[in-house]
Amino acid sequence: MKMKLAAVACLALVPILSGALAHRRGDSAFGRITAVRSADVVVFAHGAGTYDLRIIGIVPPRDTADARVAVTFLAELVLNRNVRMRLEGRLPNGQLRARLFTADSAAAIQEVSVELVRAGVVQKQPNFDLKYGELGRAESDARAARRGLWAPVRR
Amino acid sequence: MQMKSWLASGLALVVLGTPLSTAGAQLTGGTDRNMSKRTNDDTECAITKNPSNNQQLFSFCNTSTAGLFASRSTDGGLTWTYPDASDKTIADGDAGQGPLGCCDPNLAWDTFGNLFLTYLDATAANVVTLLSTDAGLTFTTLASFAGSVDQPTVVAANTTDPNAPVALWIVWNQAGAMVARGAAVTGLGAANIGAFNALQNIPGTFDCSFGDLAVSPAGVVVQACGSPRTGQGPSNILVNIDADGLGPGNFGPTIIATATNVGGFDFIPAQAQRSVDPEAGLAFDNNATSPHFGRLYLVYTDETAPENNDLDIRLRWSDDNGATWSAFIRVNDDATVRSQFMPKIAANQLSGNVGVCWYDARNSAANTAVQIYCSIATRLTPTPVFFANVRISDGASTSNGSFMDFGDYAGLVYFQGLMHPIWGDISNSTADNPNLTANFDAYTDRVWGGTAASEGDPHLRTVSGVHYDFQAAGEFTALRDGSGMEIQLRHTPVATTFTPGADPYTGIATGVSVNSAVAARVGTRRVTYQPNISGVPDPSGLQLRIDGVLTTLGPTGIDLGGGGYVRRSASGNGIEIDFPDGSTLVATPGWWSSQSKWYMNVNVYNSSATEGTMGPILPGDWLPMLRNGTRLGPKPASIDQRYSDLYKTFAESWRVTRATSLFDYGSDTATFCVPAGWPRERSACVSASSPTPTPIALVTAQGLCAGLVDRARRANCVFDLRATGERGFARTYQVTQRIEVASTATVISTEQDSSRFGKPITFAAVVTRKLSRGRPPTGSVEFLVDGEKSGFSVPLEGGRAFWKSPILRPGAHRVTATYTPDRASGLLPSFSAEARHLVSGGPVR
Repeated sequence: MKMKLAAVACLALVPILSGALAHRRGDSAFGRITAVRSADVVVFAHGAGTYDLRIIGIVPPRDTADARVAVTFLAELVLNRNVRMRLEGRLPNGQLRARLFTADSAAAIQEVSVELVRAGVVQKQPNFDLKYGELGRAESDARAARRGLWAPVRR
Repeated sequence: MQMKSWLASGLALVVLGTPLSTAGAQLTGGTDRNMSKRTNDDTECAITKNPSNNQQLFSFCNTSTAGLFASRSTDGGLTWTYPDASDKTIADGDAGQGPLGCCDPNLAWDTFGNLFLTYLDATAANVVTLLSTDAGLTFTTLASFAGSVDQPTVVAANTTDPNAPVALWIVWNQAGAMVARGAAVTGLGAANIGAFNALQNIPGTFDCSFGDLAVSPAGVVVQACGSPRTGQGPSNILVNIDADGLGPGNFGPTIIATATNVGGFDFIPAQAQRSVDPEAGLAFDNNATSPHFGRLYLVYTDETAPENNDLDIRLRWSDDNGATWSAFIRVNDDATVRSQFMPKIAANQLSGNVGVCWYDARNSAANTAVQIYCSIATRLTPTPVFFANVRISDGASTSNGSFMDFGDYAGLVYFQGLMHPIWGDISNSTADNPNLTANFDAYTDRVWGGTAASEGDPHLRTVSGVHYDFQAAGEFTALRDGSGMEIQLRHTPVATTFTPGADPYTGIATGVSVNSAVAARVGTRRVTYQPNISGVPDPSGLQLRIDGVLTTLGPTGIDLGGGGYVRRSASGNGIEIDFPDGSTLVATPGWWSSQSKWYMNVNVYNSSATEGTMGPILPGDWLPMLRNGTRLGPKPASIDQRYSDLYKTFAESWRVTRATSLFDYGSDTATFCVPAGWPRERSACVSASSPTPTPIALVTAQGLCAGLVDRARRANCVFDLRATGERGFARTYQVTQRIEVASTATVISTEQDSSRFGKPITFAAVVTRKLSRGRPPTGSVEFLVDGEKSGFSVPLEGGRAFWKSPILRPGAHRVTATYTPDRASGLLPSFSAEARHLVSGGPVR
């Protein structure tokens, strides 16, 4: 098990995600992702402006290679696609904390954080989950299927 | 000695409670009620009331745990229970409670009794609509609309379209733009709800959301939303009109109703994480008797300068269904530069008055602690004028910094003179938030109108709390509103030789008159309480007539229907009338033997009426408006002009004519034929029709009035005794005071209006202080079924008593309850109105 336990250390850098609070759903905006900055930060274009969005509830890998995999997965999911973001708050650096949903197909709307965790390319943030434990279930699925970060033998 | 008496009375009032009459405002909030009492966050709520049963309410909130918080009331919002008491939520995965819910709850209740609940499902990919036909006990899924969706609003409105007596509309944001679907409703239940029309894409609304929808009396549909949805502003409020409603036509092009400096995500100190949006809200005046029938109101939030956090609540209106809009007026009346936000507007469809409530940080130096404020505007003036803002929430809430803050909106329902705002509260002012001030609970309150009075000779107190003397003789409309509710008073002139002094408010010193009769329209009934109509002085008592028929009240009073009730005053002297709008009239008479005259104090509590001699005074005016809505403006400098304003223009405007009179008349018509010109402009007055009384010395009057705690009432009492010499005035004032602090109300509450034969039914009685604030009443309640006493006295706990009935035979039953107070409480007994319960099934006889 070569889990990237060190990733837990990253939590200290994300104080706004801390605590055992369950998620509260925010109000939303519909727009397009024009860039993927990291595995949990995207650029959201809406109206005349663009906004840096930090996806809540996930811990990106610290390892560069793993992070690259996560970024690629995220980009395939949302880059240059329509999304709906649900605002959860604002960080001191001006980034908006948000949940992100794919929105190009009404029949297949996906929550981006859940898909990232389910694919095993990021971890669920400890002591946090969505209203119905979606992140926890996705991580259990990823662990059971030994996907991504949870693969027994990697590289 | 007098001081001791006054102090003793004051202490007694402290023990008994604080009379609402001390509030001095056009609106009166009750005690906040914590509906949720849970350890998580419950906020962002909607609330609605059954327009066919004003005792039934339902609330629906976003919550941080599974599902959505849901509660219901069957006693007009006094107490709240839950469709699912095990977790206080629905849409949480339990069977029969709808698909799993995410958020954005919204409600509508139509006149057939259909309760509609909309929300986003757990995937945030469907707008779900549930239907309940039993006042929120059980639910079925009516519709589910898929897409990338957000913030649905559901509206169910009566229209004049015979094919759609109720128009049901749902509007939401889908893939960035507003869309809507509607259906015709012709009765109770899903079978009477037509198919939803095709999805209507509302043109020009891409990047627009967080809005509202309203349906005009003719079925025209108007939606409003804020654009753009993101950023800190400025933005525009866009409006689209669907002129043919449920017909084949779509919404028309967007109209910019207003610009605002508040953007879709505008961060303010009080809502630093969540941000706020303009939160546009719409309401039509649907009262056919209103001078502005069909007027559309738009409430929204603006910022006096971009990002200065001085947010105001503003209102515009349109008389052409939203095609053009007025200039704005400011609803909040504070002089601060702090934030008012998340307004909710509701029109009282029965009166035409418009109510607005909002979160308000005016009292917070840091602009972070908020309270709920409300105000109403009357229907009569050409342009809306809001009365003084009134703080409603008992506590101040500062967000816990959770990611929810106060949510995106609050809720409000306004019906029959009673407003029920609902909001997220973290103050724990009710002392029953299980985790104190750590998390939000869902709070509500019952917001009534104000207190008005015509006491003594007579001294008026307007609904807005201004005291002035009105000594005109004749019959006058004292209070009325657009619902048909009206109170008329007869003033009889009294001869005097001495005037104790000028009225401090008007500056006028004149002769006096007294209230000698009262008449009222109570729903569809007419009630009069007046001296023997033969005209012969009759000290044996005043005569009560209902619809002109001489009536004797029994111990339980008479149900006038529709929420109207007349009963003997609990003090044993006079009558009390409950109006359908929730207001209460108390008439406390006295017999003046030396003059062979009846006189009375007439006090009105919780009145939402805005017109009449006791109507509220609008900001900037010195008297209530005239019958036609004309305002008299500021107080004139000249006493002569004030006399002319008050006793000529104003008195004549509100004088009752033969055509408008509610009184009963015998052979003596002189009572209402008193000519104008009373009182004379200066000094005391002598009337040929009455003997001249002997004044009382000041010190004697002060002694007799010493027990009155309210300073204005005490001064009026002293004035009356000195001017007239009639000591009985002091007695009527004291009885009025006692009623205000000690009277109670008993309401029967049952979970269901009907049940199957063979099961006992649990009835609840809720006993409250009727006209005062204070600790819940103590004592006991006895229940009666079909007039038969149960034989058991059930002690009150927290003002409530529960009784499990024996098996009731099939058929309709009348259930009532009598409250007997503890002797030590000093409270007065009360008797509930009837509740009906239908038992079905059972043996065939």
